[in-house]
Amino acid sequence: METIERDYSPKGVRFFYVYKALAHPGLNGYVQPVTLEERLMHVAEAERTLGSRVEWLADNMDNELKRALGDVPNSEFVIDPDGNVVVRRNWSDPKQLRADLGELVGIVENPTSVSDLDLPRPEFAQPTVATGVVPRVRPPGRMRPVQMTPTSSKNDLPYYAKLRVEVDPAVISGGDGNMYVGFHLDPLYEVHWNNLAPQPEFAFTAIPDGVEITPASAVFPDVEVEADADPREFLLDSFLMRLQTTDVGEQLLPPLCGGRGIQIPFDDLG
Amino acid sequence: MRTTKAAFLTVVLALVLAAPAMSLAQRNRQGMGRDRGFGGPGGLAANFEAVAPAIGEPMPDVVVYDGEGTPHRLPDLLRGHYSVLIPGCLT
Repeated sequence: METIERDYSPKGVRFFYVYKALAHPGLNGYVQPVTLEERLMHVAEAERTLGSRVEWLADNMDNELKRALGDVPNSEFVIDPDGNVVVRRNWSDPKQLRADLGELVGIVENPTSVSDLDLPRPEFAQPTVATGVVPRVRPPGRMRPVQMTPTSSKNDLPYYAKLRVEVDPAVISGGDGNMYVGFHLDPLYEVHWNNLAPQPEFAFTAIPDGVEITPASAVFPDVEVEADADPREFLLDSFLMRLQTTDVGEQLLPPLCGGRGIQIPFDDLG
Repeated sequence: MRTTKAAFLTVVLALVLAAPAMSLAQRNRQGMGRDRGFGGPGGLAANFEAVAPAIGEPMPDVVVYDGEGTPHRLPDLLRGHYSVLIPGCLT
């Protein structure tokens, strides 16, 4: 893509990357941003790691653009000067894109190659404390992410850690299943767990009728090392949502619980 | 490196059950099921075909932000020149 940008920017073509919700949260340690400010931090991180000259934009925090473009992870569009789509592709294909632009604005006789560019080798954010000291939780099967609603942060502190919750797909249709609850440190804040202090805990409150959770609260066990950056994860044995109907398509239930602590909006397709 | 001040965290599991419910609604509308994959019936590719702007249609009129956090209407950024737009993220 970088070579295409080098060749076609001089012909008046503008290139945009649009930063969207993470397709694979947790990969390389990155966690889903909670605020626009954090998404812009991700943009800066992407610029740093990729060394791209392409201009970055950021989707809004309602992920409107991501959804409007079909929620695929790697699409591409060419738009004409009137603002209308002339090429759309559900999976980016640089070779084909170069051909498209050749037809639209003219072929480049001596195209730039990757070896012509001095692109950096991506270096992702690395924790500076121990990792791999806390065993990871492995859900028994495929889980569905749950959207989280943020509430005010005490003292307006950043969301150093992000809450990630996933449930067994059976739960969504009104059944019984496992629930994953994980706290993931955000590497962009360069923080770690202080294991000399009490460990994180969770507690469900105001559980609505028809919902059963076992256990409804838990404290993470002590960790031997003084500091680490591993996630704090829980796998709840049972999360049962008894619904009056199996069609939960438009059904809105009240928030399950509330209180203070960490909050995160979770993209349902992220 | 800072130490998380929230070493003892009582968690707000503001768990909005509407979310999985809406996920199902989306899945129904978009044809995504448990066997969701990229291709094939009910896959992401089918969702793309159904939802993304078709050839000749304008891009969505949504607000996006530049790297400085300044909001822009997407169509305003795309007029007057050919544009290539590629969604992406760190993962």
